[in-house]
Amino acid sequence: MELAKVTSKDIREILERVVVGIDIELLNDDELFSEFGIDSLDYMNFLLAIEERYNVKIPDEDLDDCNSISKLLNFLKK
Amino acid sequence: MSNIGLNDIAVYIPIDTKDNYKELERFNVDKNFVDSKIGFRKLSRKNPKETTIDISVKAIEKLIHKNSLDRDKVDCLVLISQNPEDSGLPHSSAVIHDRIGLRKNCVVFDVSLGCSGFIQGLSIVKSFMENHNMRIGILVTADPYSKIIDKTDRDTSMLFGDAATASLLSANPKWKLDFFDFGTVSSSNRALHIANGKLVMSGREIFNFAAKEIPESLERVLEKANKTIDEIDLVILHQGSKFIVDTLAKRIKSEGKTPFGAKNYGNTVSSSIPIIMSQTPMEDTNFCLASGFGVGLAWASCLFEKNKEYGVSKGDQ
Repeated sequence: MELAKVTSKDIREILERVVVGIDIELLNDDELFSEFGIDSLDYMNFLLAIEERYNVKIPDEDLDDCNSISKLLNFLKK
Repeated sequence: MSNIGLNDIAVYIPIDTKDNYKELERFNVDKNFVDSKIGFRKLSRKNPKETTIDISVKAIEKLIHKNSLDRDKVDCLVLISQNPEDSGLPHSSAVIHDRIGLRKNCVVFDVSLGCSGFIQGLSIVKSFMENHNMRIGILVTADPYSKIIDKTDRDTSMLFGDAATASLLSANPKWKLDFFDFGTVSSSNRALHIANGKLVMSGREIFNFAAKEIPESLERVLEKANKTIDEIDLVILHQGSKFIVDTLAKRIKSEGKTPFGAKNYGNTVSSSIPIIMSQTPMEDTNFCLASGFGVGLAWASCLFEKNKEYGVSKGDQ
């Protein structure tokens, strides 16, 4: 999939699949994953799922640019 | 050539522990994170005066006692450790040789490996024994990370526990060992390393390594054995954390037959697989898939198959 075409819905589907027990409807696009209660290990697993799905590499130094749905979408579109 | 395999495992886990619940505030984590993600409520801790050699000897003496083993018949002993005594000179296995009272013609050596060490060690000892027509061998794992943990580092100080194991390999084994798969992603060799005498870890890099490489490694083992995951009774994975075991079980579709059992002692490095194997009932298991992974970053996987002819040819065990 072209990265420019990735949507919030796509990201939410991955998040819901990877992180057990969350109500994805309650997450705002601008809300930080950590504030929503996603812990560091689930975040790692989620980032790996994103990397594998879109064949991208998210370096450690860019993690702060990927810590909400809207920031992650911007990162993918860069 | 004889077919060397695994007979028995003895375990020494120190009774002293460090309670991760007492670290919640300091490391800003909650009980749910400890229980459901890290998975280690407690971490076993050797007495500070105990050495790597001391805990190894305790596991070996247990193995000798359990199996009424004649120490004069032991042909070789291999120690897997990255925390040997005396900076590895003399090799700790030589000191163990003396402490256990092994015969002069029993060859011993150390191997520097981390969490992949047990499975790699099985392959090393098996091959060595088969090549030199040996009958009885002992594989020891002992890597007490309490010697190198930075107590202020959340990433490592809530994970690792101390333990040692001793495994008996013989020409009349209960478990046949085959279809080994090994590898090293050396570009990530700094993901676990020592700096200023203390362990430094990049958790994300290790997680990504394990989540990508281990399912593929296990798939290769299954392919070589001409089996599917549904034909495997038990999957034993290095007990790095509950999260990594659960994640891998999900990826390889082995949920329900991939135990996590290190809650009360922690990640014991190369001892984690033999400990969980020794604690898991295996009477109804015919095929057990196993994988160790970590420092290197390296992995080693293999298949254990119950030897239906165990005990038929008498004389060694």
